[in-house]
Order: sequence, then structure tokens, then C-alpha cells
Amino acid sequence: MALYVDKYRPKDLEKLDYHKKQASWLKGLVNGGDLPHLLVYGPSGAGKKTRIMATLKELFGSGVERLRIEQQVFTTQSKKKIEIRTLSSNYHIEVNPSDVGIQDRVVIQELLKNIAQTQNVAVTAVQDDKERKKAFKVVILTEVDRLSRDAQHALRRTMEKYMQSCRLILVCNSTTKVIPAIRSRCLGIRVPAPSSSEIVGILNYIAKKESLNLPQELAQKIAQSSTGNLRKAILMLEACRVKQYPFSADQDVILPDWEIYIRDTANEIIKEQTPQKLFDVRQRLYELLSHLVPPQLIFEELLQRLLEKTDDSIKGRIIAEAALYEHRMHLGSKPIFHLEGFVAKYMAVYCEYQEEAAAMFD
Amino acid sequence: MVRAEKDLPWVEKYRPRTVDDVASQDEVVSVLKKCLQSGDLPHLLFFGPPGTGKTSTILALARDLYGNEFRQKVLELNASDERGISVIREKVKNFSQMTANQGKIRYRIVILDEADSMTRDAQTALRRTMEKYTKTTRFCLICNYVTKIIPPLNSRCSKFRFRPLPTDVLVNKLDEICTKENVNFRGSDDLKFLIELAEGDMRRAVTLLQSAHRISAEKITREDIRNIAGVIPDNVVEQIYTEPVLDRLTKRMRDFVREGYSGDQLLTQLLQMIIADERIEDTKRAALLEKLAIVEHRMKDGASELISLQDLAATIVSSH
Amino acid sequence: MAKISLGMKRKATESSNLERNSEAQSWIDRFAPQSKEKLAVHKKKIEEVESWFARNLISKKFEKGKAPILLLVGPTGSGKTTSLRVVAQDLDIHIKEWLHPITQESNTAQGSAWREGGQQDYPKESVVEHFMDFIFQGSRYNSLFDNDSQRIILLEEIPSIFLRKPEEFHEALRRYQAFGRCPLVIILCETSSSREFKLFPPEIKRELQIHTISFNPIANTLLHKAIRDIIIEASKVCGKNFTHPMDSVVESVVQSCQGDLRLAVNLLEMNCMGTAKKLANFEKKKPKATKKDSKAATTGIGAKDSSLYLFHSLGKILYSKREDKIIHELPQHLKLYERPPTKEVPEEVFERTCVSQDLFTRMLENNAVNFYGSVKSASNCAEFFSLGDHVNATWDPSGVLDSLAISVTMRGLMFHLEKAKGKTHFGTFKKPTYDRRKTDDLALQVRHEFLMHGTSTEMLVSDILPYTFIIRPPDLSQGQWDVLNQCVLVRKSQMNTRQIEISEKDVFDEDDEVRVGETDFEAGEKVLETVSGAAEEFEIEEIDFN
Repeated sequence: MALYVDKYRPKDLEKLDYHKKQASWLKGLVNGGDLPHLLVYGPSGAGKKTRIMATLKELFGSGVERLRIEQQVFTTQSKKKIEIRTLSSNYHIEVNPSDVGIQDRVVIQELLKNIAQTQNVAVTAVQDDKERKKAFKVVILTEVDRLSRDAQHALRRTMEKYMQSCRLILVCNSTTKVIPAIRSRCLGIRVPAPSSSEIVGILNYIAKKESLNLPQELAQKIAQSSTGNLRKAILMLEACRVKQYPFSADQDVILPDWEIYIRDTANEIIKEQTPQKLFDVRQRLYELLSHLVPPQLIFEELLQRLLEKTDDSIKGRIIAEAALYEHRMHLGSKPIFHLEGFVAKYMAVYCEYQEEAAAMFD
Repeated sequence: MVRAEKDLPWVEKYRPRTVDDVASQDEVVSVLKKCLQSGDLPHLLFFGPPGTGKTSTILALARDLYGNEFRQKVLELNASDERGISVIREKVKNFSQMTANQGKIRYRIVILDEADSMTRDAQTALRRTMEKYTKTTRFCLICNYVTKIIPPLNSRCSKFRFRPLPTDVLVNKLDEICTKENVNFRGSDDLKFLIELAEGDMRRAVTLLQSAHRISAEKITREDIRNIAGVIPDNVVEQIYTEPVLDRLTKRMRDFVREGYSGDQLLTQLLQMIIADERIEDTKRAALLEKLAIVEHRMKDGASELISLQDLAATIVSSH
Repeated sequence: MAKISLGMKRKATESSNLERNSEAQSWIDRFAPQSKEKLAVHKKKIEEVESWFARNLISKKFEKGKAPILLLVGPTGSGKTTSLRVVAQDLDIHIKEWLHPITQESNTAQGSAWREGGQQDYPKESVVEHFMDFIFQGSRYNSLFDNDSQRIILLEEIPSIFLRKPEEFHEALRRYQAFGRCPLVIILCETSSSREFKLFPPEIKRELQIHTISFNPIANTLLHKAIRDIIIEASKVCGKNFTHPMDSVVESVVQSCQGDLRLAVNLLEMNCMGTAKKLANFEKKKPKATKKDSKAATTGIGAKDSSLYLFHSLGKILYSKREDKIIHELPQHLKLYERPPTKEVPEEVFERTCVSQDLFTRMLENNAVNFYGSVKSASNCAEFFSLGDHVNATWDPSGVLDSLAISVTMRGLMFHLEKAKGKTHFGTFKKPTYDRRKTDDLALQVRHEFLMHGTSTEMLVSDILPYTFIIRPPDLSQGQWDVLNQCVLVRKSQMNTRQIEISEKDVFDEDDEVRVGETDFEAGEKVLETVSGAAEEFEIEEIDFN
């Protein structure tokens, strides 16, 4: 599957398009042939993974690009088997422990233990490769901000225990949910989203390579719609090309279906505030959930869309309610209850506001 | 050791070796020295903010006490390490029963780091264990918040409060490290800046320094330090704090999240700004501070950073 | 080696002739039907079974490598096994049945030790092995008995391990089809459609040409007849111990067992032997039994769902009827919150419903939306669902909060519900169609298929998948397409927004849910089809929520 995103992903630190200073840092970091534990954080599509892979390539050579998928099986104390798929090369292994829910702790412990035990094999294998010899393997853990507390504590312990045989690269969107004990043991690398102009530059570069004629208006529009998510911007570019080529400057940028659906849902809510409408909206929310759209994303997106159409005088209240329900959603187990709760609250507040406005008018 | 000397964390490398080396906890040190002379030691409870030398002090003390036997005589446990009191009990038991005590000091030392992260139940059980092995073992509990230690444990220990280290002491110590490690970050102003970033936490300061050194071999700039510490530039926080229009501020919060900054760091920096702000009315300040607390709580529970921060935004705007 | 049960023919005749008078035997066995005519199952179904046998066993030998497989599904007590046995007996077919090793050996000391330890202790691999051994040997080698007669293999207990690994089961079936020498009949007691779906997904049914005959709950008219037959026979056999049941008792037995003949016979036995007196008294006290009273009687005997049906409980909460008079007057500034006392104690209603808190909350939430009179009331009510879920999830070692969560939800709801003005509620309740487990499975699939492109579901779902779907790269695998088709197009979704109605006496099976230990339930439940027959016609007027 050769999408532009994959095809034009920079493979080396020197070739990264933005945050160049950071790239030179990373180069300096691995220059000594060693690596501290890293905590790489930043929003989705800012290029965390690209930077990590480029750093690893700098460290181990192009061997890290030969990826394979492996199925690993771990056994919990209660003899329950957990299966998890990992993405690995000879030098590193990538895994998303939050895949397995509350069993994430077991996965982290066992995985690191396994690597520590089999590590000698890796060393000899690498030593044949003349210059590069590393006494450690790199473990990339993604979505660490979604790990349970338990797993995070386990992680912190294993970090020290297996420092000899492996280095960790932890990836997350925000460090707020990572416990301080882990944060203080890692070198934090913040990867901010690229600016609009940086995105436009990259889009132009790709267009040139693909010999596409990309109108600057469209490039700007894509950069705007991508909201700093470079991956999305590049995907949008390719999707636009599939839909209509040659490009036209006023061509529509294609948004993912779920985003449009949420926007429509917000419009429905604004249009009518009745129990019946609440029922319809609820169906729509179920639709989104069953299409795997994460509840938090639904919440964020829905709030932003609603705020666009809400009068300033009640905005503060609406946000406060959203924050309340969204928080509860994370504590509870049934996202729909809280999403619905918020929508109902919005309707009630909006109704009240309209009545008041009407009364003032009278 | 496989690990080269240069990879050793500086925090370990420059940990004080003797009680005398311990930076600036004079009160504590003088009491402990007396204990050393008499050869007797009570159970200890060290508390104080992070990076003030609690762990360093007990380790130095133990080294002074046991010299070369240090490894055999001291058991270091992170309370949050091994979950469950049963594990701790088992370890303490095995440790206390090891070969007959030789040497001048009869007892061994068990160090329980981060004791405040133990549950109440575990602490209660720990009390029994302490009593049981009191003849052969001394406990040293280390924590940040003494209020999180249950009274029965509290009363069994001699308490030592560790004060935040004075800036000049920190500067001297850091300067020493910089000289030894050949770090190009010397001026006392720069070091003061570093200490401010680390909030007076020695360990954090040293770790930051080492990370910065690794990354930029030549000269370390303040910018580097800031970046590594994940500190948000003051002007960004300032803009957020002073923005009067809700729509613009909610958008600013969106950009803030996209910049990858961490939400709780913003709260920390905002807190300082709000407290330092002399123009704000007290009631509004109180409202803001309360919201900060709520927002932090929610974010730690896993709530969406974007929505939580926008909620904060509404409160900030209404405080103008 | 498996204990192969002797032919059903023998068992059936022996049990009917030799042991018929044994008091120890329950009525179920004693009065088991001996001929097709006596079966309470609908004739069509029996004919279907017969014709299958005729096609696959009697008339012609099947091709090698194509051993026929028959699947009988239906709720408990709908006569699946009995029909099969009677038909087999009729056609002189010999049945060999696989029994779970635990069932077999439970008589030995070792067996009981196992049972104490719980079924899980039995090594799963060996169950599978045992199963495979039996299924092949049983079909390939003639047993010592009945050398001439036709044979079928019967499988009633599917090892639970297969539920977790249906692929293994499918593989076993494939191998059976290839090597088996006689037909295989599988009986699946179908309380949850998810089990059937898991073990026999449509593609497997197609691939192995599995013929499915589904049994419905037994119609009330047929039930009546069967019960009367049994009463007549029982009165002959039992003599003095037998109390002839009153008509109303028979009626209530039929009503309460929801087409489950086994349950009906058990209830009947209980009522006719010993316990009968109590019931008779009860009936006498209220000689002119109204409809409502007979309902009370029904629940008194020990109906399928011992107390309140979910349907009624939902009604009691959602209609939240109140007394006429306000007892505690509130001061003027609190008048807003003044309500007469409720007629029902919500906690009691919940307890009598005998369903999990989770299921009950979800059912309430799913249906409450029809009861909101205004947006204001809707938002107040929705608030309590949210709060209840929060309370429920709050970790509390003392367990106090567990029971409080449902109270918070129910009481908050009852307090804030406002009757919609001029809008009458249409009196049906629906169950939510959203299935959390299905979504989780889908999420897993997504990660498996697109692992190379990202390890986080959120990232995949939010941008990579939607655009990949539009870009349509030529080298996508079938599996990847499947996933894309399932989760990209929210707007043109195929999710069934039409919800399934639940009727008055539906009972939910929460087994699956309990086993998996998840908080979401829907996959485990199946709404029983309304039983044919006029008595089951559902009319809202008859339901009294008081």
C-alpha cells in the first residue's frame, strides 16, 4: 500500500522537513552510539513516528526498515492468554500495550523481560555487521498516555531493571497523563505540529515529485483543513487527486466521513431541541461509536462544531458542561450516557437562552 | 559494568558519599551525626519536597555506618515497586534473617522510598513488620508528604524535615558538576535559570543538565534547557492569561494542544502567574485557582485536554 | 475412550417400559413422548427432520468426504432432542452421543474432585482431543451393538473451549465432513443468537452445507394439549399422591413457561405433587380471579422469571406513578421539588427484576427518551444516567457504591420525568442495538489489518482509513477492504437503527455477559420470538403498571 504518506516519509534525520534544530539534536544524541530513554510527545500527525524511525536508522542503519509483524503471546497469572501483535525489526520492536486493555501491565513486563533474556542473540547478530554494535534493543511503546496507572508503575520499574538490555521510546500525545516518575526518567522530545506554511511546502514538494500541478489555493485550503496534522494533509492531497485531476483551485477538500457526520449532528442539535431530536441524535452517536470513532474525539469535535454556532453569552456554560460530562465519561464505562447527557444539557441551555432572548425582545 | 562511566546518570555519579557532603541540610545532618557517634539509630522518617537530598542523606549515612559492608546491610525498596505489603514483608523478613550480624553495628537498614504512595492497609501492616524486626532492623521511610503517613507509623519514627535547598547551594553544586563534566553552561545567572525551571529540585536540575549536555555537545543555551524541561515560553502563557475574548482563547487553547505542550505544565505556570498577579481581585483569583484544581484533577483522570483547557479558558475570560 | 451411550431406541423403550413406575423418575422422563403423534412439536418441524434423514441416510449413501451435518437450534424445552430421538427410533437409527468428559466421570471420586475445582480445571486441550477422538472413531468404527442399523453422531454439549476458539471448531467440522462415515447432528440450545453465530457463521454453514432446523418455543395450544395428556396419564400412574390440578393452575403454568415444555412439565409436577395444596388454597381465597390475580398466581408458582418481567419493571420506573396526595409539604422556595410519594420503591422493582444492574440501566436509558416531556426534563434525566455511570465506576472497596449507582439512576430519573403533555406513549420498549463487543472485535481487526500503518486505533480510524478508502490503493488485501467497508462510511451506515422491541414476557440471557466479564451486554441477549397462538398476542391495554 504505497500511499504518498509512506512514499514521501523522510527516512533520515537530515531529510526531515521541519523542526530541523531538533533533528540535529537527535543526531547528536545518538552520535555516541547510545540512547537514553525517550518520551516523544506531540499531537497526532506531527511526525513523531517519522522522527523516531529516522533516529533509529541513524543509530542502527537501514536494518530498522525491514519490518515484520509478529504475534506475541503472554500468559497472565491466572493463566489467561493475551495475544498482541508487534511490529519489529532486528533492532527494535514496536507495540501498543493499550491494545489489550487492563492487561497492559502484563504485556509490558513480559515483553521487556523477554527482550532482556534474548538480548544476547541480538548482540552477536549485530556484531557481524562490522561497525555497529549495540548492546541493547529499542522498544517503542505507543499510546503510553492510555496505559493504566498500574502499567505505568510497572513500566517505571522495568525501565530501571532492564536499562542494560533495552532502551525505551515512549510515544504519546500528551505528557499530562504520564506519571511524573516516568517523565523524570526519560528525555522528553516535544514534536509540535508543523505550521501551515510548512505543510504547504511539503504538499508542493510531493506534487512536484508526482508531477502534479497543485494550485496554491488548494494547497492552502488543505493545510487549513488538516489543522496541523501533516499525515492528514498528505492523505487529503492524494484523496483530492483521486477525486479530481487536474486540480482546480476551488475544489472541495475531502473530509473523513465521521467528521462530516459529526458536523451534521451538531447542525441537527442547533436546528431543533426536542426529546424526539435527542432520540435521533442519540442514534447518530451510536452510529459513530460503532464505527470505532473514539468517544473523546466525538466529544471534542462535537463541542467545537457546536461552539461555532452558539451565542457568546452561553458559551462558557456549554464548555463547562462539556468538561464535566467528558470527565465523567472517562471515569464511567458507558460513553453514550455522557455524550447524550451533554447533548441534552446543550439543548436545555440553548432553549432557555432562546426563551430569554425572546422575552427580552418582547 | 557494561555501562560506561559516561552513561552513568549524573544524579548517581554526584550523589554525596558521606553525611558531611550532604548539601545544606545542616539541622538534619547534625542530629544524624550524633546518632552515628552513639552507634544507635531510631527509625527514621524523612520528608520534604523532591530533590532535597532525602535519599542521598540516608545512603550517605549508611555508607558512613557500614563502610564496605554497605551492600549487605542496606535494603532499598521503592514502596511502589513491589506491589502489596506481602512482598515487602517477605523481603524484610529474608533480609533481617540473613547471617548473624558482625561488625560494630548490630542492625541493618531498610529504606522505603516513596512511602507515601503505600496504601493505608500496607502502612498498617508495615507497622507490625517494624515492631517484629525492631531488634535487628531500622527502617527509614522517605516521602514527600508527611500527612500521607498514618499516625501509628509517624509516631514510631524520628521525623526529619528537608527544606528546599537554598539557591546558592544549588548553584555551587551545579557549578561543580559543570566543571567536572566540562559542560559549557556556567554563569551563575544561567544556573539560576536552570534551578528556577527545576523548581529547586536538585535531581531534576542535574538530570536536565545532563540531557542538555548530551544533546548539544558544544554550548547549552537556555532555549535548550527550556525545551528539554518542556517548559512553555512565558509569552505563550501570558497571552493565554490575558486574552479577553473567549472565542480567541478557545482557539488559542486548540493551538496550544497542537503545539504539543503538556496541559499540566500550563497549569503550573499559570498558577505562578495568577499568584504573582497583583491586579486581580481576590474573589476572581479564588475562582481561577479553584478551576485550575478541577481542571488538573480531570486531566489526571484522563479527560480530554482540549475540552478541559477550554473550560479553563472560559473561567480566565470571565475573570477579566 | 468415550463412553458411548447406547442407542436411544434402547434407552427410550427401557425407560418407558421398565422404569415407568419408578417414583424416583421425574415426570419429564416418565412421560416422555414415545411416538411422533405425541410430540408437542409442530408437525412441520418433525417432517423436516424426517425428510433430512430420508435424504441423507435412508435413501442413499452420501458421497465420500461429504458427511452431512444437521443443526437443530431452538430455546430450551422446545423439543429438539426429544423430536430427534423419537424420529430416530421410528426410523431405527442408532444414536451415539458425545459426552463431556466431566459429565462422564463425575461418578468417580476423581470426577467429583474435578467438579469441586470447577470445570475450568479440566485441561482444555484434553477435552478437545477427547472430542476429536470420539467424533472420528465413533463414526468410523461400528460399535458392538446394532451392527445393521443406521448410525448418527449426536453432539449436544459443545465444549466451551470452542466458544472462545470457534476456528478450531470449524476445523473439526471440516475434518469430520471429510472423514466422517455417518451424519452428524448437532443440537444447540439457543438462548443467545451470538453463540450460534459464533459457532456456525453463515459462511461455514454454506461451506459445509449444514442444514439448520430451528425450533420455536412450543405454541400454547400444543402445550395445553401435551399437559393435559400428561395429567391424564399421571393420574393413572400416580394414584393417591396425585392431586388433579385446577384449570387455572394449568392455565398459569402454560402462561408462565413461555413455550418451554420442560419447564411446564416441571411446574406441573411441582404443583400436582405435594406443593399442590398451598396453591389450591391460594386459588380458593380469590375465587373470582381477575386477570391481574391470575398473573400473581403465575409468578407464585415459580415461573421462568421468578418475579417481575423486565418489561414491567421498566414500565414501573418510567411511568413512575405517584400517590395522589403530597405527604411532605415543602417550604415555598422549594415548591419546585415537591412531589407526592412514588407508588413503587425503585430498589424493590430492580431487585425483583433479577437482571444485572448494567442491563437494567441500559434498558432504562434506551427507553427513557420516549418519556421525556421536555428538553429540560430530558437533560435532568440524562444527567442522572451520566452520574449513575460515574458512581458505578468509582472504585470502592466496601462495595457500598455498587448498589447505590442504580438507585441514583432510578430515583433521579423518577424525580425528573415529566409527562409529555398530550402525548401518549405507545407502550413498547426497545433494546439497544449497539454492541460494544462487536465494536471491540472490529477495532482488533482494524489494528491487525493495518498494523503496518499505525499501531493506534484512533489514528487509523480518524484519518488513515477514511482516506485510504477514498484513494483505493490497488494492493489492498481482501481483509483490509472488509475492515474499510465496515468502519469508514458512517453516513451510509448499515447499522440497524430500527430497534428490536421487547415484549411483555421477554427474558434476557445474560450468560454470555457474565462469562466474558464485560460491562456491556447486548450480544448475549436474544429476544424470544413471540410464541404463536392467540394468547400471546400482545396488547398494551392489558398491562397495568400500578
